Amino acid sequence: MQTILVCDDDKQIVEAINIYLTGEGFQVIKAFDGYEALELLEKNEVNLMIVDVMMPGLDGIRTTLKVRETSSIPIIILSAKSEDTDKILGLNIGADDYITKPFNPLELVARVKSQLRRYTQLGNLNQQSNSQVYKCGGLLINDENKEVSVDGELIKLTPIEYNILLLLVKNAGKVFSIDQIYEKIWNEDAIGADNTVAVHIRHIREKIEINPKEPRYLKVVWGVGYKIEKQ
Amino acid sequence: MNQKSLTPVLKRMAGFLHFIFVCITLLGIGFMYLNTNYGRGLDWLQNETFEQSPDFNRKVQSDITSIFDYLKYQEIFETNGSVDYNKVVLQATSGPGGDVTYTLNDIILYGKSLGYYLDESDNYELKGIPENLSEEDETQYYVQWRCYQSEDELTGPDQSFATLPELTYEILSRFSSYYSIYSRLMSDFTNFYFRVAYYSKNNAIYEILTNAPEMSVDDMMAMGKYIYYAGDSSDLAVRTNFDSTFPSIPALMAQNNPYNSSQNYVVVGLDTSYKANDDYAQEFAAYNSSRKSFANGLCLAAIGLAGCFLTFVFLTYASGHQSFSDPAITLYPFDKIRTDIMLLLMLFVTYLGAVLAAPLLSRLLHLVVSSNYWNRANRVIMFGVVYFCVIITFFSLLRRYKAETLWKNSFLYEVMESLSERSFKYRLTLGYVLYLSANVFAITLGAFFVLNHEEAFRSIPFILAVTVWILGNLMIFHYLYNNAIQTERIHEAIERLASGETNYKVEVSQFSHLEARLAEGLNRISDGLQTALAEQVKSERLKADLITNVSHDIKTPLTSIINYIDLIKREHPEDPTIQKYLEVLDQKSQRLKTLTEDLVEASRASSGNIKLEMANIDIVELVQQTTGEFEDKYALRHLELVNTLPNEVILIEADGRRLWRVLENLYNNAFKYALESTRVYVGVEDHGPEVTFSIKNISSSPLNISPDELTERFVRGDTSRTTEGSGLGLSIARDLTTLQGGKFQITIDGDLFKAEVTFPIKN
Repeated sequence: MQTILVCDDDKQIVEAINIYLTGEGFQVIKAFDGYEALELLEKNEVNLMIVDVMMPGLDGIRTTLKVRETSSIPIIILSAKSEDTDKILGLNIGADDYITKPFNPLELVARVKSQLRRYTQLGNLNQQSNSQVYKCGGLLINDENKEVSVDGELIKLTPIEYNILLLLVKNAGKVFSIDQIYEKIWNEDAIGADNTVAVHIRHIREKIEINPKEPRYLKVVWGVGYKIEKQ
Repeated sequence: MNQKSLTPVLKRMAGFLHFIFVCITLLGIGFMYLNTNYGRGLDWLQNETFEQSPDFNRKVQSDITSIFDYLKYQEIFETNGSVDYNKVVLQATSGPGGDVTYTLNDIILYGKSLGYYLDESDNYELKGIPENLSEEDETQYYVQWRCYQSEDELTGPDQSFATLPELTYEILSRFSSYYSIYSRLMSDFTNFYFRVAYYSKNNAIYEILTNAPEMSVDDMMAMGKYIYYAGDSSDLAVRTNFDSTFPSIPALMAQNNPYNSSQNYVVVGLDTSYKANDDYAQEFAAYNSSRKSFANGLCLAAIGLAGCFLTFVFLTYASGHQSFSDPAITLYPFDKIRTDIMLLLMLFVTYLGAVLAAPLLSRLLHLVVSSNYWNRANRVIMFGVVYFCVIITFFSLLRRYKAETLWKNSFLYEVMESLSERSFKYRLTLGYVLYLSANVFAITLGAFFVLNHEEAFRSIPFILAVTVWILGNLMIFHYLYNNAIQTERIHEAIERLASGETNYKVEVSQFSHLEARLAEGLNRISDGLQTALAEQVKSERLKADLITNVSHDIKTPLTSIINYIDLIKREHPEDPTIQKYLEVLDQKSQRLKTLTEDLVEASRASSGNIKLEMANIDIVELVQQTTGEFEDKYALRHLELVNTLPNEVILIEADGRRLWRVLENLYNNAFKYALESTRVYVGVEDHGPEVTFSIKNISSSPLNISPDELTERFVRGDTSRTTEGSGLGLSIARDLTTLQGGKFQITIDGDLFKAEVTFPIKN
């Protein structure tokens, strides 16, 4: 059984998270400020930590920094601060994910599971050096048997969706415009004024992303095209 | 004694000393002025000796002439080397049978009776004036012979007829001349030695005249100064060490040659030790004393000038100071009169002094000074008066300069100040009138002068006046030019301020007078603008921060509400009423969530407190992407999206994510308010320099609201909406568009809702 440390000064939120996570079969340790969290981390074997930013005493950012001095467990920051700068700060100081309040409980659980899978299971996948396997963070494409998995979970894609994703993963970091993608996949000249590609991309996002509006893998570069973030 | 009381005493002493030194200078100049050598330069003092002076040479020349004169007089008045009073000196006739013969004795006696006498003290000068001449004395005689003229010289009638007193005067004056030469050269001690010798052709007969028979020719030539002239051809050169060769000697020699021979010579020697007390010795002494007095005068003048200069320097340094250690300047009441007024006053006083006081003073001086020197004394007095006035003026100016009131305490300064402090209009008008009248006056005067004086262009005062006029005009141009520069600076400052450079400041020290105030005013405006701007930015930020913080504080309890509603739903309550209530709670809490998120974004967008990441983006691509995102969603409400997109890349400069947010809000807006099962038209149109994105839909409910109000909701706080959404979407879209440099427009035509976003196309 995996143990998750939840740290927030709002007891009701901690309790709600506790209910959700316990329901999914996790063991939850509750902390209500940064110092308490650090103490509990020392005493218990913890697999993942969810921490609030705005807390009395030691805040979430400093707690994360302290934890990172000794441990590499996944840390998810849960904060009411939804600004870009806040998210960038949180991820830069060592957090693995950033969820804004008010959060969707299902999303939270999905993200927790995703982080845990990556931390515990995918570690040994790195050794697989198959030329037919393309990997991008938690996203894995096995071109041999046309399988796509995210954080170890198999995803079902249509052939066109698969081809688009493969194109983007093969050229991770490169931005493709709608016309370019169309020409590569359909092998035809793009006539324009066609939403097919955009719709397909949306469908792929809905399948591989936990929150399609805040994609981790397939990113929209607005007004330019689409790309898979190089990880 | 402390310094405070010492300094005025010192200054008074210095002033007195200065006066003394001025007197000494004048005295020295006087000495030099009165000297006969005045105006001969300085080198004579060093280089000339008495024997080189023109006076000396004239004297030698006259004495040489005298030698030959004496030769003549010897014939007339002497017999055997001494004066013969019985010698006949005049034969005349008053008519037939009236022949008369006069001896020297007769003439002397007659002369004495007339009142003539020889003044022994004055070189035997003939003196006395004949008085009470009788009728007999007026008788005209025909002169047959007289001692000083040979017969053949008596030609014209006017030469031959004369009265006896006239003839007596003639003869006696020659006799006096003879006597004078004799006493000077022959009898008395003299330093002038000479020998004249004539020989007949065979050297048998000879005639010698000398005042030193015992001296040989060589003896004479051994003296300090000598000249030897020989009439024969043996020696062409004149042997002499005089400065002059006395070119009259040959003629004189020839005139008095009694023989028809060239065997003759003249030798003159001068004893330059001047043992004998003769004219030479006296003149030598006088010459030397004159030299000495000139040198003394020079020394006095030099000392006086040096003293004047030193005391002047000291007074210049000390003027105005009460003590040396005290830098403060004390001004006398006289120094407080306006500078230019004082100058005019002193000019007038000096003029008055020169015209009135100097003559008055010289009258007083005339009581004690001999009339020979009146003229010079007048000049000295005049100089003194003018000098006094100039010195007083100078020191007053000096004190003003030290106290820095020289310019400021002048009437001219006052006028200029008052002029520059007035309004621009007043200043310009007055300045123009003054300038014009001054120029018209100057040109008229100049023209008048030129027309009336042919030599005008060569007259120095005219050239000076023209120069001053040109300089004056140049100065006015310089002033105007400076003014223009200042105006330009102000203009530039205003331009910059107007273009938003609110921190722009002008350098006040570069401006003067009224412009300086203008510059200060500008700087104050700049300060005010900056403060106001900073205040506004600060308050906007505070507002945005407040909204952000409040929204954070709302989000935490909202999280619990949403989560616990979800938890209740997971309990699957059986009661349909509770299920219905839960649904309402869920809906409202979700709306609250959107509202808080939009609130923050709207406040940031409206305050401009957003960091934009501008890049070149393709608006067509963006619209395709957005359409792709919404196609499925629109299908839910049976809305058909109709795209009209150009098949080309249209680049604009914008922040992709923010522009997506604009389009997202517009698509969402259409999705929420469009009548179900209608078409939504989306288009991108290229208008040359600009590109316009438009979205049109048919509203499901009547649009009884103006387009402006649609986007002003947030600002006006009008939140009467009951449907989903925060009602801030359009407001955010508008603010974000404007922030990125685009135009946002909403048109309502009946139920047709149309939103347009326009951006300039990037080349």
